[in-house]
Amino acid sequence: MFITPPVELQEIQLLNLFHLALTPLALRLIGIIFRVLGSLLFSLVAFYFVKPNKHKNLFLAATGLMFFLSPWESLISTFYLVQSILIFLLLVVLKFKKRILLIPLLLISIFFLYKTYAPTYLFTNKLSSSNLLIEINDRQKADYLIEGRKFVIPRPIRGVIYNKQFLAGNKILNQFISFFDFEHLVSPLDSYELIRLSGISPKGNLPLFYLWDIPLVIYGVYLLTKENKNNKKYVIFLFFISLIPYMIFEKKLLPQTAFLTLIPILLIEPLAIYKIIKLKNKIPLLLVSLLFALSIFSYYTTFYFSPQTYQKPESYLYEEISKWLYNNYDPSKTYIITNKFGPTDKMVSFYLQKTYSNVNFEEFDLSEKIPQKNTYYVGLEGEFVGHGKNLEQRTLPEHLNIVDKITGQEEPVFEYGKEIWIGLYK
Amino acid sequence: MDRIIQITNKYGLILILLLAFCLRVAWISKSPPSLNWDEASFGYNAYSILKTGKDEFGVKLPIFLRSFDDYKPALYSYLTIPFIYLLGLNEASVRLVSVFSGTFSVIFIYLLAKELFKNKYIGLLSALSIAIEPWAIHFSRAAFEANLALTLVLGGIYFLLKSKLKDNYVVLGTLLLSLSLYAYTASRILIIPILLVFLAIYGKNLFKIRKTLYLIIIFNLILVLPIIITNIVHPETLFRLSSTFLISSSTPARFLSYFSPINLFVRGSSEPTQHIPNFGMFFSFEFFFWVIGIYFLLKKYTKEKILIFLILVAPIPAAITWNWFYPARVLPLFSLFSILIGLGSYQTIIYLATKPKIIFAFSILAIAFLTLYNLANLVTTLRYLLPYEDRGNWQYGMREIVQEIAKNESNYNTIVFETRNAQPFIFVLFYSKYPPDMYQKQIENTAKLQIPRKSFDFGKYIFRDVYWPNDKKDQRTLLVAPDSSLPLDKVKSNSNLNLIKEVNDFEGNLLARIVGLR
Repeated sequence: MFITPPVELQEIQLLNLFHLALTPLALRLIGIIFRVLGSLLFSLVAFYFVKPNKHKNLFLAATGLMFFLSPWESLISTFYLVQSILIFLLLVVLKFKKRILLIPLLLISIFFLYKTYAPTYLFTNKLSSSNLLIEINDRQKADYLIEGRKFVIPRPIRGVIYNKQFLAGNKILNQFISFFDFEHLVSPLDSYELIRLSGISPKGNLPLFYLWDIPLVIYGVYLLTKENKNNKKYVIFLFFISLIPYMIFEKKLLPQTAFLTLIPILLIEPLAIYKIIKLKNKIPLLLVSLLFALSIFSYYTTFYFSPQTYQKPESYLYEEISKWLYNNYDPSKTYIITNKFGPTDKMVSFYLQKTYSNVNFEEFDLSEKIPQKNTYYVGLEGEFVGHGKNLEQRTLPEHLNIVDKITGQEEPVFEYGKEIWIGLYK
Repeated sequence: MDRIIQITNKYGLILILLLAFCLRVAWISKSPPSLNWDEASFGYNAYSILKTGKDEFGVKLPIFLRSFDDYKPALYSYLTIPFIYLLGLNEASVRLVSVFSGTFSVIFIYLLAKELFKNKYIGLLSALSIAIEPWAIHFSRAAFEANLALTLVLGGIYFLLKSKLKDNYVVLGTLLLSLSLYAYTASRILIIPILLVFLAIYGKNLFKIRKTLYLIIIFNLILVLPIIITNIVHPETLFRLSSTFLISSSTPARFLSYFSPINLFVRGSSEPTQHIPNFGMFFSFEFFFWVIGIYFLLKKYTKEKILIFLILVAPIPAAITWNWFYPARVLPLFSLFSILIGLGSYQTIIYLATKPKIIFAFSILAIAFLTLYNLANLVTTLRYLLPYEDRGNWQYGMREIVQEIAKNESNYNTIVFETRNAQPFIFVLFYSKYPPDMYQKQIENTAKLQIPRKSFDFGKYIFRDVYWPNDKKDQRTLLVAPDSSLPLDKVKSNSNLNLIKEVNDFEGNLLARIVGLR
């Protein structure tokens, strides 16, 4: 019934958006089917771009495998079904050369992103006249205060540096360059943990490429420009077009908004791989293959066996709570399940594909309120003993037995503990 | 057009150098807004060496400055001595070494690019790039020993490249590289891969100077011998190296971060004193020239592969440390990127020159405008916004506090200075120009003997937290602390009170309250 990694809230919202009711299994299977079909199509599209004279089968297999095992593609297929479908459609468009179809595809992507994310996630909001003015006013204030409450910058220079249009232009340029964020693309968690630099939240972000993909893509771009390929202008054009959704939304949503760029990027990479395969010296090929194997092993073991290291803590807890309820459901008892850290009701009903009349979803505080008899309480530690520090040293209410515990890796709510306790009040 | 080319040929480098110097020296005492503790340490140690021949701890002609137990290479302090002698101990005199180093770097970049591409205009455009780029200006406006090391490393690379390891320029090249070891710890890691790159490419030429080769090796060994001996006799001087050679699974990603366009052109660094508000290391529009430069380097200038290798080894000292994106350790890499940007802008101009005159003129005007806009933004940011926004990172307020203390110092027997985040003792020494011989004697039996240092007290100065309920009973004592330790209402109610002074920042926020007790 359950396939790791756990489903995320966003997926449920998406299904709601399209009025679809899918089981976790169906959700994952559709993603996997699109991954297989997509990788087949991708190898054919890449073949069309590179047209190798030798090693045709090897090339097809290598490029298909590259697409199938790409972290970003895996993330999209497994977590974001709609993007997966759009990528598949993009490949179909490329294979059958109906390039005009790119436009509706692009519009669908933008519409879908727009419907999924609140307007506060729009980068274009930052370009509004009022927001630019706030920023310029802040700058003016600093310049004014530092010189003893005087404006000393000559008027023509002020006219240039306090200019909304120039500031907006600069922001657009910076947003474009920000796409080339190697930390965000290959090691978001490492860089965030060390320096809090990436500006992205630590959880819910997986690498989008393997580390060695970056030099291969750069080499591929170089080959594309050098070797006068017929398709070079088209691939470059495709890349810029596919950046449009990313340019509309905030950078922190990069995996979801820039997903269309995956195709032109992966179309470029086989050029480099093909060149390496053709080399007489097989050491680079061996090296790349070794890196490929190592990073795939490392990535997928983390992906399937340690989802807690990259997912938000609540995603794991939703799944575990659902599992516990599924295995321990007793119609004679009442259940109160917390929604302190998120919409547990939505997530549990998704996992179990049904609702129970004796299961209620609400926050509770058993340190303040006397529990109901004959009731299972499922909630964070702090909801049983009162929130704060050193929760393990506090005492439980009388007649309440903790019958089970679900251990998470992080506190979903500050000072409420990492664990989900399941307590029965008799 | 010909006239412009003529002027560029004749005066181009001089004008660029003049611009570079002005951008580096202007308002040097006001921005960055205050000396940080490392700068104050370099300055006071230089002052101490000038006055007594010894550093603050009484070590005669030191190779390393113990400073905050981080054992900084001492070359920066030695070079600061003439400026302190001429201008006195102040912000400008401490920072001028870096200003001149930054200006010399422009010359070396010009020579290096010209030597690499055999093209004067690429040299000039590269020099112009480094003259105006945010990172180069910022690191030249504060006492960063990394900036001094950069000049020496660039000089070393230039002379080695010019010699191609077959004539006597090798002596100059290796001399400058060896000297860089006295300037910055990261140089110790960087020069090995640099020398390996030169050996790999020009190693076969060495037989042409085999007669002098032994002399060069012996000469350089003698030059670095004091460092080796000091490190062996006093292993604590290796402190700064102890945070390096941290190889982990994230090392490759850390290496890659130094090539990440967002870090270079948009975000910059989160290191407190190594960033300029709203700027990356380079101007964002330079991204396009950088990409074009890389493209032409790979496509057209295949013989200049030494530049590629130097670019690849330059981030090594930074990649094997704990920090993620730490600009000070990769200044040589940034300067090589400036050459790429120079190459990219040259190729762009060449390409535009093939277009109709109107397009060419419009494009050049657009690039010039973009450059001027960014430069105007940078200069005003450096002058106004940086001192305002980053004042906390630069320990702003220490100068003002010490000046207030100095006015009243003679009336008190004890001065208690609350120390929580900064290292106030070095600012007291620096801004009060505390006599070094007196200081050395006062710490002879305390701080000098402690490794690591635990006590920072000297003379009448005591550095600890202020606790008003106890301290209010003291007599002839000056207390210096923030509002949290010396709340105004409680202080005012004390009958023992002699003086209250407040030091505020630009916005009127209280930095410290100075309270005198009878």
